[in-house]
Amino acid sequence: MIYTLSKPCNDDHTHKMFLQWVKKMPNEHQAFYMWSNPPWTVLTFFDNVKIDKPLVIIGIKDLLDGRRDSWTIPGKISHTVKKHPNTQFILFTSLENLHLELSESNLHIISWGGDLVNQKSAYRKILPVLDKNFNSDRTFISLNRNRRDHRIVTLSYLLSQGYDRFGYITYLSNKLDLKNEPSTFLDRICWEFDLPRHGVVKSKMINGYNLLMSLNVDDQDEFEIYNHYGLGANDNATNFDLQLRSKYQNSFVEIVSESSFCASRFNVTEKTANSFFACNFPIFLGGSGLVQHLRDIGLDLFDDLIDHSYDKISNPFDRIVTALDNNQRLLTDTTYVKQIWTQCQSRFESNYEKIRTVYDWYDARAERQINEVIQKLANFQTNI
Amino acid sequence: MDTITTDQSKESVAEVTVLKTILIMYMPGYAGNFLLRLFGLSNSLMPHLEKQILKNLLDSNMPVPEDFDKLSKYKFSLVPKIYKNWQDFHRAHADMLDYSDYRLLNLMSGLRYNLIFSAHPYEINSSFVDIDTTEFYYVELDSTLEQWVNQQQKKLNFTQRPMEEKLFDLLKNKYHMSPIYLSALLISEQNFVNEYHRVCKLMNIEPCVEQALMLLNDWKSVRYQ
Repeated sequence: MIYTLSKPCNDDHTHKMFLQWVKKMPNEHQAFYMWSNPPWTVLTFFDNVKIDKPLVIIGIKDLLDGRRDSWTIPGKISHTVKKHPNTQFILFTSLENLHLELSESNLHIISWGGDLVNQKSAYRKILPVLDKNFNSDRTFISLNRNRRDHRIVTLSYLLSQGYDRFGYITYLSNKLDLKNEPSTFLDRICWEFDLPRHGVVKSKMINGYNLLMSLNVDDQDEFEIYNHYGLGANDNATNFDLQLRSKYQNSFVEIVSESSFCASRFNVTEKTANSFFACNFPIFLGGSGLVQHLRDIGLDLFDDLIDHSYDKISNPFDRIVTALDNNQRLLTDTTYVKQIWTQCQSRFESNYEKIRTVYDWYDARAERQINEVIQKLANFQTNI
Repeated sequence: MDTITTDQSKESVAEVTVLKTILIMYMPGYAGNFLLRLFGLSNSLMPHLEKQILKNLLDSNMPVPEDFDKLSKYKFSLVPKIYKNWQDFHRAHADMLDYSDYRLLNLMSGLRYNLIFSAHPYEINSSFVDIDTTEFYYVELDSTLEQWVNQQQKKLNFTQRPMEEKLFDLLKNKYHMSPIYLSALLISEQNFVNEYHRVCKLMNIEPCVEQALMLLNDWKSVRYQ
């Protein structure tokens, strides 16, 4: 039995693939497909699902960040899997590195690619932003829709260091939401600020936070933007062409503020894909390991020009500071950045071809993982 | 609810559980809440529930009770006694936007229902998710009821959003929607029965004429005097 509880409006790829993949699985199974939004429904599903087959296949789109009471979604998955030690579970996920958190022996994790595989048909039609405006006085762009802690910290640091003078910054501002004093804000996020080296940077960050609260950034972004297209919620492809393309024409570097940042698991979303469609030099503020993951896909990360050493730093605070400070010239030297962009044009074009077919890479990887799991399950059957 | 069996010679036989969703599009004031409940009387369709009741059922891992009495729950004459206004009544109920909770409840109820929703064009445009099979209907209004609708919209503070009529037409064509003739349902009892049967046949649901007439008269008592 395959049952779909929910799926995102813009999911035109993963759900179809899931239905195909489940057909490859051994016969005696139950299969469920769902979107993690709202998290409450997913948590309730795990509370209530009646498991009566030896193999349970569950596909969950998107992040697993929601919680109810003390339960997180990964915690609930782990609990369910442990409760049924004689059942084999296959979990399809949008997240990379989820296996670092969920390592039960009867749970097999398959990654089908993050949200960048949504809107396949629309994204494949997007043209690369190769017509850059060389008269632009900005080097970089930093888009920060949706308030998340790492975005606020990044923006605070950019402002404190004066980087904002060289970049185009958007921020979905809702100042009424941010009633906390800056020091309180920094204390409430569960990052380690207690290392001696953090003292100076923390005070800079607080200054930047004060600036963020008092200054108008370039674009007071609005959620309603999506509804204006008349094409449904989270229409990222249309947003790219109608809203972002002109901004990307005026930038050469992008600080990509991904949806996930702190946890070891991360979701690669359209924000990452957009930077390749935009043909910008990317600096990724996503999960640790994101840069390596993109190298594994075969994308050119311009390692000769960008210092991506931040990718291996687990402390989120250090990762942000390193990512920005170690690439200071890229962020602030407009002449330099335009010169190297021209030299790299063919590399941007290659990346564009790679990103618009990234679905194939994720599908092939999922197929390999599925075959490994099927083999494992077959061996398990033989051994009992 | 149907299952589609995929016949793969070398692969497993996977049964995709296919729910049918009936979606009725209506402009504010076009009796969408009434029509949802009218056609939703059929036993094969998931009851339309208050958000809190839906949440409580899911929280306590309870299926829809076998003896759930739709007619008594759907009585419009109770609305003015329970809710501040019609908008509050509308908002208190789980609707198309809560489809995943209804689908979860259906799973806990043994997958014995298909789903029925009514929604305004804006909600369909921004939030409709096409999962398995959806049949689309729209509420057709002719000139005989225009005056009544206008009066109701004013009296009950129903507002249309910008471009909503244009969106209504656009979606009607996009999804090849079938009409439900509101005036035929309201003009006389015989016409009601004919139109009710016609639509039930299209929707492939069991008509419950006696209950339908009771609901009609109850709704008329508060909304169509």
